[in-house]
Amino acid sequence: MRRTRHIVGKELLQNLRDPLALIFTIVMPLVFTVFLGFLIPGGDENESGLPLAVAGADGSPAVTQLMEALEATPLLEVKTMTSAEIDEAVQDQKVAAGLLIPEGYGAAVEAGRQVTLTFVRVQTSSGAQSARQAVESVLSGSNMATLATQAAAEQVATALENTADDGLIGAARALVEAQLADPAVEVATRSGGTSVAARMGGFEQSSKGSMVYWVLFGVMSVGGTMVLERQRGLLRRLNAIGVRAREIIGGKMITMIIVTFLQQLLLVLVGRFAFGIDYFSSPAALLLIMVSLSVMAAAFGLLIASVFRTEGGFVATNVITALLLGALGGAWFPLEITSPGFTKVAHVLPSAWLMDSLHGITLKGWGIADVLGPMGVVWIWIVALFVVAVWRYRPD
Amino acid sequence: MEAIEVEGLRKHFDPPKGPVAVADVSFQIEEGEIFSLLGSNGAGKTTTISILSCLLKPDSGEARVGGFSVTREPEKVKALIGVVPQDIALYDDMTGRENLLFWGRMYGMSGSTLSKRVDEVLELIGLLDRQKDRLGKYSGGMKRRVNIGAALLHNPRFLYLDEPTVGIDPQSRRSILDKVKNLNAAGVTILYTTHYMEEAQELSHRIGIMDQGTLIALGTQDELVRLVGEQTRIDLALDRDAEILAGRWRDLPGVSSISNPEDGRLFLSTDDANTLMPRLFESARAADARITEISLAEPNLEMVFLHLTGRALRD
Amino acid sequence: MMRALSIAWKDTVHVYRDFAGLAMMFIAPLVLATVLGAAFGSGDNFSIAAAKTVVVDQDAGAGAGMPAAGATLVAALQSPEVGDLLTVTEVDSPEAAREAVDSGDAAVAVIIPPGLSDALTGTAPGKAEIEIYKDPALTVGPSIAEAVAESVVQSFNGSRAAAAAAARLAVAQGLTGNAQIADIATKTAAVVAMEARDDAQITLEQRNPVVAGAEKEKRPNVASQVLVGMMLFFMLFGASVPARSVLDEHRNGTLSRLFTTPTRRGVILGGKFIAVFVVVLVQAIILMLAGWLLFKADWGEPGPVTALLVCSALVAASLGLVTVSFAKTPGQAGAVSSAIFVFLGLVSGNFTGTIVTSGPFATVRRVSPIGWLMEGWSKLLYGGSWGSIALPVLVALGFAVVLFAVSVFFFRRRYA
Repeated sequence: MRRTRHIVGKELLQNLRDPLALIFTIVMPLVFTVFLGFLIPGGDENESGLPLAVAGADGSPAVTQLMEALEATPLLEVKTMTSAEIDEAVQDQKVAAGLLIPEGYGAAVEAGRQVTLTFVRVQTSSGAQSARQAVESVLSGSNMATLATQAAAEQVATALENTADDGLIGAARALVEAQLADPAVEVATRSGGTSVAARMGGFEQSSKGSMVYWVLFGVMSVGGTMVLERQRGLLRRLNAIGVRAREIIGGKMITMIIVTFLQQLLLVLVGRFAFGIDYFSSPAALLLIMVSLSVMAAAFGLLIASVFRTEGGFVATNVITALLLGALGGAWFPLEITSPGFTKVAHVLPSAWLMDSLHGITLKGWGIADVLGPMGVVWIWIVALFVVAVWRYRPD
Repeated sequence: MEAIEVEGLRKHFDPPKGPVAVADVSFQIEEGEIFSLLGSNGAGKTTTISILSCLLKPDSGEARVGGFSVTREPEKVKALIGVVPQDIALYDDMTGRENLLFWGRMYGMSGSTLSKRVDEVLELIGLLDRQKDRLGKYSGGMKRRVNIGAALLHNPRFLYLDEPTVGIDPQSRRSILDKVKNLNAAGVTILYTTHYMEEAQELSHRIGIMDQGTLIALGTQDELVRLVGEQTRIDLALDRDAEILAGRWRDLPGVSSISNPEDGRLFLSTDDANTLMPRLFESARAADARITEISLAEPNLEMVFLHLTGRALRD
Repeated sequence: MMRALSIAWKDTVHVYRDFAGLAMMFIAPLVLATVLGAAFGSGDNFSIAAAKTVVVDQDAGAGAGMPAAGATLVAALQSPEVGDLLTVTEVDSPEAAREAVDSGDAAVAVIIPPGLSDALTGTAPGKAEIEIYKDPALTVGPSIAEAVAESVVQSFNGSRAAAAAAARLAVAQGLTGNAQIADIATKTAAVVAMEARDDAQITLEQRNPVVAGAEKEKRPNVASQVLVGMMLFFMLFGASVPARSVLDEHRNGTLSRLFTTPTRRGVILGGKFIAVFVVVLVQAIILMLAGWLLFKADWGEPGPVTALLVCSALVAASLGLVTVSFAKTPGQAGAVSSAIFVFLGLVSGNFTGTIVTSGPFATVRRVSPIGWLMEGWSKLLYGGSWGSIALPVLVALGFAVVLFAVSVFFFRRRYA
């Protein structure tokens, strides 16, 4: 144990003296968190933000009404452009989507004819999907007012053995709009979970994603040192003077755990106090998640350092593993926007369970009992990785 | 004109606090000579060779190789020299042959001329049968041979070898020393650096002794040994308390210089061995120690170094 | 020139004998493109998992013969049209519904209040509120359920508004019989309810953006769009592997040895630069071929594709060299370049693709040459040609020239 402690001390000292370790452990995760947090749209309906380019606003009453309805939608930020500009703007992601109003829209609407608008979007964009829903909601409302007006006017006209003239339609429209302004049924949306910041916003995703994704970079310095020590004969030397393999492995793992735990702690504190993420709703559950994440990263780092003989091989595999765990685990984007099979496959990996648990404690008020199951999966991974790492470990 | 002329070379790394690696060093090497720079680690030998290889620019002084200035005409100098660096400077993931072909191309050789020359060098260094193996699979001695071979491809007029036998087995070392002599016999002028006195003694026509950046002595072996006059060298071994006794003997009348003990062994120089030896035995007896071995020898370069610096060559 | 090519060849062979480097250059981008392509659906369709939805219907209906509003809403949620998007289960109570969401068994609960039908028919005073109770960690699934509920409620409100308007209009037109007015109102409501389902006056069709110069809309599949981001990102690593050879050789002593030969230092460094470019160009070609074979990627017209490919290789080479030029050891170079590349990938959208669509992002992306290249490749994928890639290529080349110059400055300062 004493030797293990000394090894931990030596590793921490080396880590502290390595400026690049600081970049990977502290700077990059914070940059990632802030940058992605600003870029990913928040889930709050009261926030505006999705720019929608509209072309074809010809000043007709119907178009004006449509534009007003779009502008009144909180989710959309309407910008007027020409048709040619819209395609480029959508392609270049300057706007979430574009809406092309055809010529003669106003006349068609007035005459009760069918008319089709064109929605221009990049198909993989989830912002465009949200914008489309908002536009459809506006169109649906408009359609309903028109339909109700037409139906009321025609039924009354039929009863009067007449046809519905402009006067009748106008009167019907006014009455319909007055009724629609005070609907009998409303939809109210509420979120489950804790009362504090209970919504999935940009920083909720990026803060937790950073914790899960960057933790493997946090072990890069210690793991890389292990590879170099093996190359230079230092591990063999330790072995020759009687330091046992378990003391060396233990020392390295404990260091990796300490470094990554401190890394996570920083991200948690920044997430809580800078971005209002409710990490401390269940301190015990958070602690369990953080410890599990650190141990998992250490197990991965140890395994990769045990298997690969060169620094290049270690770095490459570490980076690829971090990328895969991040992409598959929902650290870069929420798994709910992925295909059905993918979400299932992703939950084979520990990173997906860690992300679920972090969302659970900050958004749904999960306690330690709720995270035990997911952490159980993570620990199965940890044990398996550790067993293989120890089996593959050689001092030379 | 001398083959290599060095005049007042000076190199100071990171002034003012950094070390003066070479301080006002001057010497000449004649065509066809084997000239050794002998000194302990950190004496300035490698820095001197780096300047003569045009890798480093001196702060002051001048050096000319084959009549060309190392500072003003480096490309012409490089065409004349072959450099065998202290560390194995080769590519582990390339075969022996691939390494030599590459270095030959860097010397401007190509085609069948290069290929033939690589065959010759492989035969010279005794690695024809291993030429297709990657260097990573060679032993240390084999790598050293390729390290030398890579410097011979272009038939250099001058060959610099910077401590080429460090860390290799006696057999490989013997092989290298023989090769150096053979090359010299074929007309190559050789600048050889080492901290092994025996190598300098065996190979060199002339020897320059360096210590802490300064050339403290220069000449043939006989000339250098004469610096210590008619001194006799006494080698002895003690069964205990060698450090204590060495300290006492330093001030003993008749002792000119004494080395630091190593594993109970030390040597000292004296003008009068007959008078000194009984005193040594008496002193040992008084300290309850036994002199287990004693021999007298002619002075050698190690004695010269000790005489000039007060330290042994390997200190 | 021959010596420079000898050095370039030696460095290139060295790269291809390094398994770790090859893994970063080829295996990683293909694996990630496959994974991310699978994440977002196959082919060119974007698909997500159906959201688990629970519904509790407390509405007893308004009277004999009238369809209950609650049942109508439940039927809408369970209709085949949204079958791919919602998986609906009925539960007994609002508490059970909320519990299902809180425990993670459902993404969203739709809670239909008692008296919904009464509120619509006016037989009970006041309004009715349908509650959408959603999992705060999810956005897409709950928003779909919300959209369906909103649409049905809109239809309810529309029918009611139409009926009420028809009744008032009838009175205003002088009709007085209660039965007749009630009949007018009922028929109006029925017409609205029926036509709301079938005949929308204003419809929406969607398409991909048409790039300037393209003859028609082109629909790139998800995997090829992802592969572009991964290819550009991993080309940076591909460039850094041979670029690091300068530092490796410095450490091993072979660089000093090279400097003792008559080969000029400029030629030595030039040879290394050539190696970096060749390695990364070959990497890009192989990845593009793999994309074409494995993911059916249709990259575009050969001319613009070639131009953009060469430009991408030059940019990646220049970035690989400049990041290495700041480092003193191979280990430092590996770490520094990894950090810079991940940051560039982030800023340029290599990982996030088109998830992010806010305006500032498009501006921020242009700070990076990789961002410009992403734009160019995106335009080609969507059917663009020379005209649409001209600006991205010019700007990216400008970056490459500057970065090359910077790396030459630092290398010469250290080694010349």
